[in-house]
Amino acid sequence: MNRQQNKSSATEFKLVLSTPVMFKPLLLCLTLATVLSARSQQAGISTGISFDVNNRFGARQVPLSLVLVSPFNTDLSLLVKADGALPVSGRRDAEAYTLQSGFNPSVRLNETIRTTWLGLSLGLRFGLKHFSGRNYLFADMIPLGLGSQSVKVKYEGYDNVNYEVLNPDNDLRRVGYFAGAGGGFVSGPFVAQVHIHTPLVAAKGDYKLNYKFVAPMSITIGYLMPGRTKK
Amino acid sequence: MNRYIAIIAFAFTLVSCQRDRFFEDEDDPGLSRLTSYSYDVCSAYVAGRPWVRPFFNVLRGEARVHLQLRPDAGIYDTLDIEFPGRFETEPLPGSVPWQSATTMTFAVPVAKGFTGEKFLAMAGQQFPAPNTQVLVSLHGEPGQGVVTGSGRLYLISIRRSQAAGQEFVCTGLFDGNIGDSILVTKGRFDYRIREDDHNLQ
Repeated sequence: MNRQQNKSSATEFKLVLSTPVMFKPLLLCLTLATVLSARSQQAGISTGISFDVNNRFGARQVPLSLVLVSPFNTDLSLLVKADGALPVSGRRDAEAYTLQSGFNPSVRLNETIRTTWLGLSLGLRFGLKHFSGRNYLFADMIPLGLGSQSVKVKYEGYDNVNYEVLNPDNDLRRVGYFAGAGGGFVSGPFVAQVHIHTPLVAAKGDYKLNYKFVAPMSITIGYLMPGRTKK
Repeated sequence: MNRYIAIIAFAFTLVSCQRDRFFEDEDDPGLSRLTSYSYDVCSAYVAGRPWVRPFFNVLRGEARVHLQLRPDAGIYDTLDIEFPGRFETEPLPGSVPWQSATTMTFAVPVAKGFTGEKFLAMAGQQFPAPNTQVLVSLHGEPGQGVVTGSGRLYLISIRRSQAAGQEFVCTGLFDGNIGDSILVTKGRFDYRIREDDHNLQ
């Protein structure tokens, strides 16, 4: 009995260890199965502006969000969301130093940080309050998403031959998990919504960076295509 | 019981493991980036070749910087700032203490009565100060010779460390010219200076 227990706990331990590896295909399969098996579906597309609430340098992005809503009933639907965001801006001040005679010992310069991200997430949409016609308020809960962030860093406005940038950042590309929440209002085929995502859960590496993973808060408006029903 | 002791010992070993925090500067291949993150690293091009502080292993860590105040007979005393380093092609002095790494020493003239507080006040300054000279010496392995020339040093930041047993954290740039034949260029350092790495009051 004891040996069996040991064996089973060893198996559990192995499962726990391999969970991150299993998660990605599991999430994709679950998403695909949900989409294919749903009785009725409504697809939507939306865009707007996204603010990064996890960094101080004011990065903004233009998000594009595709959503598939599969209702269980009038108050609860399954949500499959694919998000992408293109960088608009993001700057912070940096400093560079030199020992060369004839130059200022230190100069300030601009560090441009551009973050692109992609995400695929699975969640639930709760119908909060229904009004006349096809108007309603909703709240989204996204417990699990798989995302990718790519950060490009550029230093501008200084002499890079004679100056050394203090604490320079580097480019980064990471895949990890995130969660999210949001809410909005549907009026006929149109939707206005706000969503916020957590930063990626992923390792940034040993080198200390001046930026963190983006936590986008996106304000979007979009169009919900009429639902189709499977027989 | 023995198993627990082994686990605790293993945990202590992991905690005491040290990592090499050398992060290469993309603009200057072979050199570390200029950082102020207490990465305990210094590097420079010496005669065009990357010269970098050695990292021995996970238990002994990296070679450390040393500050030595030397009383002199004149109006100034001398503050020796001794950076360890090696060329990539040189073998690590594996069986000898870290003090045996080859070093580059900057001898900076300082006013009499120099203290740790006055060292902190050197932040943001370039040396040599007017009417003084900073000597740079490149020391080989023990028993090998020393070559000396003139050097420059920019102490970009010096601050007190909050960590136990560490007093200062300093970041800066250096270069030098030894007899016009050995040029030290693009030198940079980011070091914690522990209590036993200096003799300042």
